[in-house]
Amino acid sequence: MPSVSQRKKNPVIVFLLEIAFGLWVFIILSAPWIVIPNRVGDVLVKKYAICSSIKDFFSIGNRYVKPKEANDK
Amino acid sequence: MIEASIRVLFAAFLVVFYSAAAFSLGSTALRRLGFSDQDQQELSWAGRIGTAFILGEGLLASVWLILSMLYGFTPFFIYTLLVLCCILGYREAFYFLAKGAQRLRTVFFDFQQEKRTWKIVILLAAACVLIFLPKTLDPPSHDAMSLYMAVPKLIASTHRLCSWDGPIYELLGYQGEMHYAALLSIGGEYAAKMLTWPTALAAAALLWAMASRAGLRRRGQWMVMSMLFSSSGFTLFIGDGKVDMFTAALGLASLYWALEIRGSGSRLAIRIVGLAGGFASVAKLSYIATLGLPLFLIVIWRSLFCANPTNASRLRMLTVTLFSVALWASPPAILQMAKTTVLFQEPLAPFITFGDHSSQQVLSVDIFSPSEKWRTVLFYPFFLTFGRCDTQYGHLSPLALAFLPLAFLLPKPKKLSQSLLFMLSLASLAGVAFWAVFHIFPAPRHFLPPLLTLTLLPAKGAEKASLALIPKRFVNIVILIALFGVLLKTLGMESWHLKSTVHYVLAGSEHYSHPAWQAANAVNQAAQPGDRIALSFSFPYLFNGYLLKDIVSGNEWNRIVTESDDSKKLWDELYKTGAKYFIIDKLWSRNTFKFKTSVDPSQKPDWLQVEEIFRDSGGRYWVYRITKLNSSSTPSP
Repeated sequence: MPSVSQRKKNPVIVFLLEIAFGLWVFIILSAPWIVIPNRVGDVLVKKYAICSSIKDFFSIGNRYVKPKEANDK
Repeated sequence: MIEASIRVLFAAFLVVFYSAAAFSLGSTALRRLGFSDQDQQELSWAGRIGTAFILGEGLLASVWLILSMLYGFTPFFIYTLLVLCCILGYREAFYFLAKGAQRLRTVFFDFQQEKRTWKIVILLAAACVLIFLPKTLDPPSHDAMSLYMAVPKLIASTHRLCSWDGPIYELLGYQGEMHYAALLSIGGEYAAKMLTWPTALAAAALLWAMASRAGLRRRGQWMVMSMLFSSSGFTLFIGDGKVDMFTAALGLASLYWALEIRGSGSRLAIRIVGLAGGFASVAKLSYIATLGLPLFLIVIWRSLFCANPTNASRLRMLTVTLFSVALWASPPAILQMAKTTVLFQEPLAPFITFGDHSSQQVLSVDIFSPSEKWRTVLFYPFFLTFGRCDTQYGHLSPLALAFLPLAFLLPKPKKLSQSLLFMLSLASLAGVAFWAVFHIFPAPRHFLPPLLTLTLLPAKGAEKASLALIPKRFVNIVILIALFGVLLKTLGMESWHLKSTVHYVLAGSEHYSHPAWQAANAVNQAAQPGDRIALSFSFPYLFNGYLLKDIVSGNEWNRIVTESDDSKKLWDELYKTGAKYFIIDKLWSRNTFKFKTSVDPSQKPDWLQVEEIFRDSGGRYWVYRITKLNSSSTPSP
């Protein structure tokens, strides 16, 4: 039996919220595979340009400096 | 094989003995600080046991520091004091453990009541805790071999507080370093690094207790444990030879006890907050802000909203509490002043220095471009979870970020001012945000206690969602999949890593196949006590203890590098320092020392013999022996 607070909520909104949460968790759990150095990430980055952009976005500091940002420094 | 097993077992025995001494000392100290039977009833068992151990470690490190300043840091005194701690404190220690064991039964009872899928999650989380024990037998990390275990090895071999000149790191307080020095004196490398595992357990116990205090139930507490042991920002410090685990545990102890402050009457809590916070902040400079700010906010909140207002005016109570905390934080600070005075005659270092020991390097790191700064600050939680930053060294568990939206669905507390979880999260957020805005650098080690405390909120949200009355809800399934995925990945990665651990243990550091070890061992075998070694090599830890005190110092190196225009001059200058062996890591030297000339043994003064005694197959590590050819020739003036 649903609790009193759950019964008041619109089931469609609850369903959509749950789907959004599932998507969010999927994105968060899959991102480290792309960004943090590992073989899966390397394959993905070579294959898909979008993964490369994500990797670049989270790479900061002198060691990971990219040519286009070198002028900023 | 048998020899390796005996070494590991001996190290394990020493760590148990050392931990027992620390726990006994901490239990006795807790009692002397005012721990009563009423506290025993009211406080969480995990909090009591964790605090006793961490406090004992903090005090033991101070004892070792004083002993080393008095030139008495010998294995005899170390053993004697450890035995004394065990004898004098065993009653209190058994009392704490017995009471804790009684309460531990409830954890097993709750486990039996859980559903099958959650039982598997709990078992996986428990396995994650255990899998990090063998990791303590790994080779030390790069930083550990450069500093964090190298200086302790020097202290252990000289039996007194000493240092090489130059590194700014020497100006900071010693916590983990003194434990390493003591265990290197009586046991060796395995024992020293293995101590980080019980320390990590104590830190976990404190976080467990904090979760309980903040209203999380058993399932939520296990989620916090899952997040903790899948956060590489925490687990990397188990057995890597760095010292951040000790400071993080002390920081968590101070945060836990800050929640127990209920005005100026809470003497025990105030004393522990001051002592533990003081020990942590002295050893890790960034904690002054990132731990100090949350503590300050919690103390204000507890004094203003949770104290009995009839006792005295709230403002007066707050002033007295803050003053008392500061007073109890002063012994670690005084000890630090004594240490820097003995070493460098710089009592106020690293804040105010009178000599060459500039504090600038410690206090500011500016490595990001303006665009990188903005990007990092705006997406700070994401950078903490999967950023790739210079020397970031570890991440926060993705579970924390994944479950964060569920925290926003938590029902609003009736009184925000009475919600421990709300206040603890807000105060911790302030500590992390302070660092994010003013220092940026998204490295968890600089603010680990408040960062780990922040995991309580998403864990509470996930617990609430998973305890909903409809068990097969999609959200519940997603939470379970996320927990299974992250815990299995952690277990898988660490299990895979065990192979290299076994390789290192079986070979032993004397026969380990890594070229850096081989180069250092070539020097260890050839050099005699008193021989000087010139290092263009970042792992002084690898040399025998008796060789460390005669290493060519940083200032001497700077002079050699700046004054040597050609190879002949370089060898000449090296000889003048009295160096008999010269070890060079060519890759590291290229990035660190700006040599004006190549290091060429054929281009040397005629009166000098430079003999190559080791070169690794990759051509990275070279070892030379420098000797004078005949007595008639003399080095250049």
